[in-house]
Amino acid sequence: MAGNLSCPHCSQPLPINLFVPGHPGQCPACHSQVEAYIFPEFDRDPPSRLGIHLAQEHEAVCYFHSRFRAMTPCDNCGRFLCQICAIGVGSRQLCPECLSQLRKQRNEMGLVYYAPLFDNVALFLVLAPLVTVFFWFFTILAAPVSLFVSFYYWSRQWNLLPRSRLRFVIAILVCLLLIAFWAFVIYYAVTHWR
Amino acid sequence: MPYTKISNGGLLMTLIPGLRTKLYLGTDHLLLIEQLILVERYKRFYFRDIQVITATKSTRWIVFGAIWGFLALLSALLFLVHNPVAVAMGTFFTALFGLAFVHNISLGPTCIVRLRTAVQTHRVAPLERIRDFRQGIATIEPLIRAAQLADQPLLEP
Repeated sequence: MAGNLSCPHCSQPLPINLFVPGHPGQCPACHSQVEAYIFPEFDRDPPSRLGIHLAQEHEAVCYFHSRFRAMTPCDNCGRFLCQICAIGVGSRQLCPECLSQLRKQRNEMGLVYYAPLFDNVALFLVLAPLVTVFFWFFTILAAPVSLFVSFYYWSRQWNLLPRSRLRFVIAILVCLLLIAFWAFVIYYAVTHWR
Repeated sequence: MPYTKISNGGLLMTLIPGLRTKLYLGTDHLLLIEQLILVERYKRFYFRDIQVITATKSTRWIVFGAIWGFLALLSALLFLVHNPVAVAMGTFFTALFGLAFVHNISLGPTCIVRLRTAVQTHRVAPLERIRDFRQGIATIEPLIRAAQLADQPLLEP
């Protein structure tokens, strides 16, 4: 048995035979109901050690470790890799450098790990001063900036899954209203100053 | 890469901007999307790596039910004030908190779901209603088992 299961409530070890998929078992220590789905990977023994072999004179060596025997090429750049450097991602084996580079590329959908939400930025810029009430006058600056962000990132916004442009639309409408309001205030102030 | 939605974290999380977590099903992994106001982070759990998924009942739905119910009752007190503005506000807030109360009860009991791999244990917030968990696990479990049985090395005689 490779792993052991502990109660999520009290962290006491739980006997594995307590669990049948779909039926909760009771922790013997804290009596909380725990439903567990145990998969074959749980029982699998971890590899005892990495298969690192020093390269013989006639053998190809790892690009990063010149003393280790190359086991596989990188599926992106083709560099020879030892077992330490070959990183399995899905069905591919990548070197650390390629992994680092590919994580930044949007077309690498299996690797990308974050996306900025510019629609939320635009909405936040324009709504935050209004919500705080005391800083509402900052909208004179925030509204044009938010309007610019909305239009600039309208087609540049990228997410792993399709995302509605509703927030952009709301931000643009609020910005236009605020800009109209400030234009009116400035016009009124200038015409009634004299 | 096609993704199928498993859960989007519920109505409350949908309404609160920037605190959403969503769970999607990919071809060989689960995709957990965590949104933190201005950034969306993607976490992938490959089927072949998942060891255990656990769910333990939690009292969160009772706590939320009590909060929404108390706020609805508190708002209903505004009906006692003989003022049209107070009555209008009372109607609005009683309806708002009453709906939240009914919605919370209708979703059913909550649970805490954890997904364990060889190197991490991660909480899966989008499945933290018993009903969502059961529906989600009915979809996920056969895929994980199939992926892990396919990966198993053949036993030598």
